[in-house]
Amino acid sequence: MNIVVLCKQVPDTESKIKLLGDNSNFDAEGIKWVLNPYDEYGVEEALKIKEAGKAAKVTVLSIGPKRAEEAIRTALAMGADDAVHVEDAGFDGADAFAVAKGLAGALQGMEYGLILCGKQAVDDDMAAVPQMVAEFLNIPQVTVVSKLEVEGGAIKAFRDIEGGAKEVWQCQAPAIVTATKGINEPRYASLPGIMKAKRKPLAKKTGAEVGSGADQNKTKVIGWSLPAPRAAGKVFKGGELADLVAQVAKLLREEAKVI
Amino acid sequence: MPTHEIAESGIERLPMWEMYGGFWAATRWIIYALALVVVITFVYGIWQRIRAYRMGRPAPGALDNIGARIMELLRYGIAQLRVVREAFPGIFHLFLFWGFVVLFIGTALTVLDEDFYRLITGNKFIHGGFYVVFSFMLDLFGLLALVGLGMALVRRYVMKPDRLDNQQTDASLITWIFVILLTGFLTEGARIGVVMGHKAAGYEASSFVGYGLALLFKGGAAEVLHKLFWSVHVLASMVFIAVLPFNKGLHIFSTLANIFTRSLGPKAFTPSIPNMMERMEAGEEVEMGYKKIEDLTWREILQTDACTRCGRCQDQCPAYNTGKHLSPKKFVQSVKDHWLARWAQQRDKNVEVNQGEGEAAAAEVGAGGPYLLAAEAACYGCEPGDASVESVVLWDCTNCMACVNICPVFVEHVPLINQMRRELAMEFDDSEKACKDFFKNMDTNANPWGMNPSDKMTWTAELGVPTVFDNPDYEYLYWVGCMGGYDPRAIKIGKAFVKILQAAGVNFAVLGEMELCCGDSIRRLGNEASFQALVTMFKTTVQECEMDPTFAGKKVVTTCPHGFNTLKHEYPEFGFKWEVVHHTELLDQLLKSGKIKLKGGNGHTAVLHDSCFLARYNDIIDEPRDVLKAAGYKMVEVPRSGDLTFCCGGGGGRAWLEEHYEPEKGINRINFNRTDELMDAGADTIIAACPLCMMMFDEATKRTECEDKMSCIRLLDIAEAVAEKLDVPVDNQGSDGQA
Repeated sequence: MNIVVLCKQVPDTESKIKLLGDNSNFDAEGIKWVLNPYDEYGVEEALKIKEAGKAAKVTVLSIGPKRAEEAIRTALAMGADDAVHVEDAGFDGADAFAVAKGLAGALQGMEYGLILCGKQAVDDDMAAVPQMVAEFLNIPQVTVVSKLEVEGGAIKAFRDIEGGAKEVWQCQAPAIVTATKGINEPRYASLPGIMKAKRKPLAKKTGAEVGSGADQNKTKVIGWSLPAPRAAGKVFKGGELADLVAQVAKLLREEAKVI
Repeated sequence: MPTHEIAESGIERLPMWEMYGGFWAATRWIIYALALVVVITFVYGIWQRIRAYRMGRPAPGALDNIGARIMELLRYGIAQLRVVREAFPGIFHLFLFWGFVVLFIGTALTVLDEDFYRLITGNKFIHGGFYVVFSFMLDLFGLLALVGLGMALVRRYVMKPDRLDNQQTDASLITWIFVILLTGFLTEGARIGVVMGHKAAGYEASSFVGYGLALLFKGGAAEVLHKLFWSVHVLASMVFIAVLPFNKGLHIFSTLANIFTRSLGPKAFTPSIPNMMERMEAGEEVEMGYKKIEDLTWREILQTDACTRCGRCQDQCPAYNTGKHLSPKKFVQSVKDHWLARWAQQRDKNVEVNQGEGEAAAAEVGAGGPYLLAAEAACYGCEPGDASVESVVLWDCTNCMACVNICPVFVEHVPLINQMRRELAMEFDDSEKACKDFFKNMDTNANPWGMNPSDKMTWTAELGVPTVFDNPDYEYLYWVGCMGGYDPRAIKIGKAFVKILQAAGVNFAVLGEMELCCGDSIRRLGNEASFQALVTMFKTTVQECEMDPTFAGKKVVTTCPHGFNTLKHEYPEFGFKWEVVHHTELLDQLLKSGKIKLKGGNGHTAVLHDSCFLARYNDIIDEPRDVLKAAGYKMVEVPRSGDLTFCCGGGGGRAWLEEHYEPEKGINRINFNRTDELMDAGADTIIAACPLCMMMFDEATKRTECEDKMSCIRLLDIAEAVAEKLDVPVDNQGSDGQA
């Protein structure tokens, strides 16, 4: 069985997001790009399955501009065998639907028993692509999985639900599973590992080859805005303690409306 | 037939030692034949050992600077300055060592006299007054050796300190030495007994031990006993010398060789992997660290052989003292056992340890096996569990250097541990989650928490500290450091320090957003690649900003001993030519030169925690004490201070990892252990000079009942201790951002 891991390159969560002058997008200047941390869980899980002798090959699949190669190299350095990179300007501004269609298009030419990825990307937090990929391919999907067991063609997936309970699903390969925190502890891709990963095969595909692009979008971003800057804190001092407490309580009730 | 060749000769009136007295004439030739066998065996043993050392790589520089090395040998090999740091074992080892040196010189002189001088000239030079002194010295030092041996016996088998593991080789060495010394004195006693039976020999009283024993030997029995004792003494001595290279006796030579070839550079320095990134970029296979014995240099192998299992390192080790896996002694012994096993395998089976085997061993480790240096299959003639090093042992080390500092024979445990960590960190991803997160944060944002780099210099900008762009003619570059830039507690230290610099009118600047992590922690955790990437990135940025990337002629000051040590000792290899000082040193200078004046009067008593990277790595011990005294503190000391300080637990990258804590099993945290000691010192203020130490103590004090009781104990950085006593001159107050 082969495993394909869908990966996305996202801004590091510590990045300071600034908007372009016309609010049409955020400013990519000074952004540090990393492999989506949830996708790292996907890569790690695929490698563990392979190391347990239950999969033959782990392939990374990603849609993104040239820089997305760095994220792909990280996944390869972790231990994936090869990668497919759909690199096409036609995907600039593509929405979840267009990306899912492109991924499904790429997957149709590949052998896979299991598709893994993160439950969502930490940049736009859409959590929509894997589900749509499953629909395009007409295969089972189990999302937000915190434990996975693969035995032959049988896939058993555990989901954390409210109250600490586990929900257990079973399906037949091929299927798509999205990973969440707790499923594993992703290994560290060292710089030497990333350099060695340059020798691993990385195939390039165009939008035309996978049959999608931003022209397939079903949604459109019409503007961006940043959260209001946090107001300065208020310090109460001087006077009797009892008075201060009364003042704080009054403001919490009337202004902050939290009590 | 027995002859009395000397007694019948014409020189009997002189006080002298009667050789071969009462033996066959052939005895001499039997002894010569035996001596030849002994010499051949001894030389063969040493030669084999040297061959075994040569399994290692070349050790560049191990034999340069001969003059300095001879001085080291005199200081630490002959005078044994490090051995005597501990009174009891130090004294008895000195007795044994000097006892044997004098006995050896005595034996050598006798051989020269009896077997060369006399055969050539027919006379002897050991006679008369010289003989009286000569024999007295031999008896005195022989007796000292015997006393030393008794003390050693009592310590090893009665007192039984935890750090000694008694093996058969220890017992047999002690037994041999005892037999040789005892039969030596008995031979002398019997000989004097025989001589006194023939003539008045009052001069023999100078051989006071033998003279005393002579009272026991009278008449015909004395002659028989003399021959018996003499034979046992000679044979035992010969066997002893012949087998020296094959047992613990080898340490006499391996320790001297190790002291002679020891690293003379910065202390406990782990060499870099030269140009590793460039070479990898060029597609070259680069060795990451030590995974097999052939990766070590011959000097590093020799080090493991110089280890006498004295256990002083184990006594000092913070990891061992808090119940962790690491014992520096056992670590070194494991490497040694593994080396000897591999050597035996190579020699006996004539198996070339080729690349393929090394790869197999490495693959075993990669698959999660606990053995770093050997796969089970590669471990010949030993239990694999005994012969190799488990990764948990390596991760326990805080790089505090207490082991290296105390080792009487200059074994350097820390660089060996760090070299092995490189394999674990870069090749096998054998590290805990916290370590991986730390590596990822460093790779992405060049600081331990992965915070946004642009936030690092917020507070310096707020205080109006100029950057190198605002003030290119700065004298001191203040390297703020990751702790100093992000950690709220360390920021307070930085602010206090800036206040002092401004009050003293020091011309300084900060790097602003150009400053990256110094890389101390990540390098010591074994991630050499990320460290070199950091340094390269820093150099490139400096060049892009059209500044001199060597910083020649500039001075750097840090508030963190880790940055201080790394920038001072490790960056020069990458072309940096700056002069680096720690803020403790600068504060001391500013106070002594009168550039800062402090208000008098201070009701506080302080206990200073010496940072490992100041006190041990850089000998900065007096400076902080002078500064605190100038600030009016009454000082108290804890026993573990100065170069014998006890680590806070935060060095070697351990500050970023989880520490095993299971008090019910006796596994304590290092910072708890140390903070308890400092809090019980009788001071109301604990002074640190390191933000990592501060972080460790801060956490440990919060666990005690002192939480929320600010009056209970104060925890200050040395800069804060000075800043609060600052007598700011009126004309400088304007530039004081804090005022």
